[in-house]
Order: sequence, then structure tokens, then C-alpha cells
Amino acid sequence: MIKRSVEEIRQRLVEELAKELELAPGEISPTEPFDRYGLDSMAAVNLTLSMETLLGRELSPSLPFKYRSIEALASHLGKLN
Amino acid sequence: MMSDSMAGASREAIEHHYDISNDFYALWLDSTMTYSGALWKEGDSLRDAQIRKIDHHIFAAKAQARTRVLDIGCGWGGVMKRLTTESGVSHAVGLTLSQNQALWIAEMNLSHVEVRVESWADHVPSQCYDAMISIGAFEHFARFTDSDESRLAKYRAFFSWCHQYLAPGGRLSLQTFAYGSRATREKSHSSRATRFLANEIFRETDPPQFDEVVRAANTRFELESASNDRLGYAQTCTEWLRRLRNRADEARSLVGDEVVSRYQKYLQLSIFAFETGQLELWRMTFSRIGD
Repeated sequence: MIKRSVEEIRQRLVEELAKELELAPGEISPTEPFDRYGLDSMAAVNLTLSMETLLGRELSPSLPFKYRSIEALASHLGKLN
Repeated sequence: MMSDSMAGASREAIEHHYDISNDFYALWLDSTMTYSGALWKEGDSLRDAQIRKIDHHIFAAKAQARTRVLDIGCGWGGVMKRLTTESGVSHAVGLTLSQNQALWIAEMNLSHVEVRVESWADHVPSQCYDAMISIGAFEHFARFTDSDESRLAKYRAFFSWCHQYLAPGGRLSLQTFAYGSRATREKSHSSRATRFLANEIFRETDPPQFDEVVRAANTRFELESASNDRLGYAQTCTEWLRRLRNRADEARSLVGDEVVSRYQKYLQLSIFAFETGQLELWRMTFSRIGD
């Protein structure tokens, strides 16, 4: 497991979501629900994979379905970490 | 051979998935080599939950101690082994389109077991069966490109065939995953995950929706019970993924990096789909109508 701050996690989630949606990171709001971006299951799995790499641990691919914004997901992952 | 209009996934498409390598599947499936959603109780190992699932189907089909039992889509033979070694069945016949699975079963040297590399549509038994079980095969009975009408026609043909070769009073216990009721088939088809699964994992395959299975059985079979155990399938995929990751180095040496990465993604997408209801897992018990 690799220790990361909530800020680092949030930052990486913004970058990964922007990549998935082909948007600039500045266009992603961490408090906006994933649904508003039309996050699909492939994007959710890709986000989870990037978090597994960042944190060095296995994660459930449905986490973005349970924690429905970058803010909520980063906060949850920060606690796990 | 069956006509093309009635064909589900071809033998080549089935082999693309199931014939990758028996040793690869053995790394992450349980020792019964069961490759379908398990029936979990608290404290179960994967093997416990798979055997509970197999026993559920044997009981639901009333297959215990019967003379002739058919397993349509028999995989690596776990059901037939259980039927003939624990459930007193005199003769179990299994149908698969995978040569590797048939070889695996043959190497087990099981008594009272006959495996055939054959589609149900081409199988003409000399006598009727007393019970039928089909787990994880129905998903392959229609193709991604089929229209709603052609898919339903294929499903009806399957139930007609089962009706023809199942003895009066017999039961069919069926397990299949299905598109969830939360979205239309069109929406499911358009997702990146579905396209990945259809192109890279399960070629020429398109799962049903629950109501299509029920409609296709009408007039030939009465649906006695049905339950959606999608979370049980999510748990099964989670366990498979954990086991595959634990044996990733061995898996890579057997089938290469690309296949291992593809299977990890497929299992993760499956976990997501079953946890969120995009996919469902149905266990259905049908009783044959008429004499």
C-alpha cells in the first residue's frame, strides 16, 4: 500500500476522469456527481484501475457507483489509505 | 447441422473463449472447474458455493437417482461428476462446443458420463431424458446482431427442443445471466463495456432479458420458480479476480500479458455490472407441460 493524501487522490481522479471524457482537467468539478458526466462502467473500471495503481491496493470496481463524485470517492479512498 | 438462422455462438466463437487454455482457467476457477455464478452462504469457500449451486440445480431439476440426465453446456464437467458420483444418476450426458472441455472431462475417466462436442440443436438422443440442467449456456444462444424477433425465435427453438426430448413430468433447471431491467437493450448495446465484452470476450453472444426467457418457454414449460442472484455472481467474479491476480505470473506465462489484462478487465466490468444491476443472474426452474 502506498500512502497518498486526499489532495493527491483528488488530483489523480480529476486527471483520469478528464482523460476518460476527453475533457481538459479544468473542466472537471470534483463535487459534480459522476452521473452528470455520463460516467459509464468502462470509465468506472478505468478510474478504479488508476486508483489501484496509485494506492498499491486492490479496490472494488463499483466504488464510483457507491461514492458518486470525485470528492466523495477521494474522501473514502483517503480514509482507506 | 443446425441451420444458420437458428445458430447461436459458433463453435469457433465458443473456442475463442473457452479453449484459451485449461491450465489458465484452472489457476483461478475452483477445483470443480465451475465457470458460472456460485450460490453463496456465509463462510463459504468458492468451491463450497459452486457445489451449493450445482446441488441447487440437481434438486430443482429433480435429477437425483434418475436414469438419464442431460447437461446442456456442460463446461468442464462439474455437474455431471456430481450427478453420477453423489446423486445416484445412472447416465449423464453433457453437451459442449469446446474441444478442450471435452478432453478435460474425458481425462477424468468418469463412469456413467458421456460428453459430446455438439450443439443441443444437433443432438438427437435415442431416448428422452428424465431431467435437464443448463448453466451458463443460454447466454450463447443468440448473437449480438440478432433482431428481437430472431432472438426470441432461437429461444423458442431451444425450449421446443427441450420439450421434445424431456420425458413427461420432467424439469429443466436453467441458469443464465441477463441484461438488467434498469436499461433498454439498445442502451446496454451502446455501452463501451458491452462492446468490449461482445468483441473481446464472448464473441457472437448476446444475453437475454428475463422476460424473453419466460416468453420463449410459454406453452411448453411452466415457470415454477425464478430468482435473481446478481450479487452472488458479483461475489463469484470478485473471487475469480482475486485468484487470477494471485496467480498472475503463472497466468501470463501460460497465455501472455494481453490475455491476462483482458480477463482482469472483463472480470472487473462484470463485478461492476452485477453489483449495479446492469446484469442479472437468473436461476429458473421449468416443468414440462403435457404428456
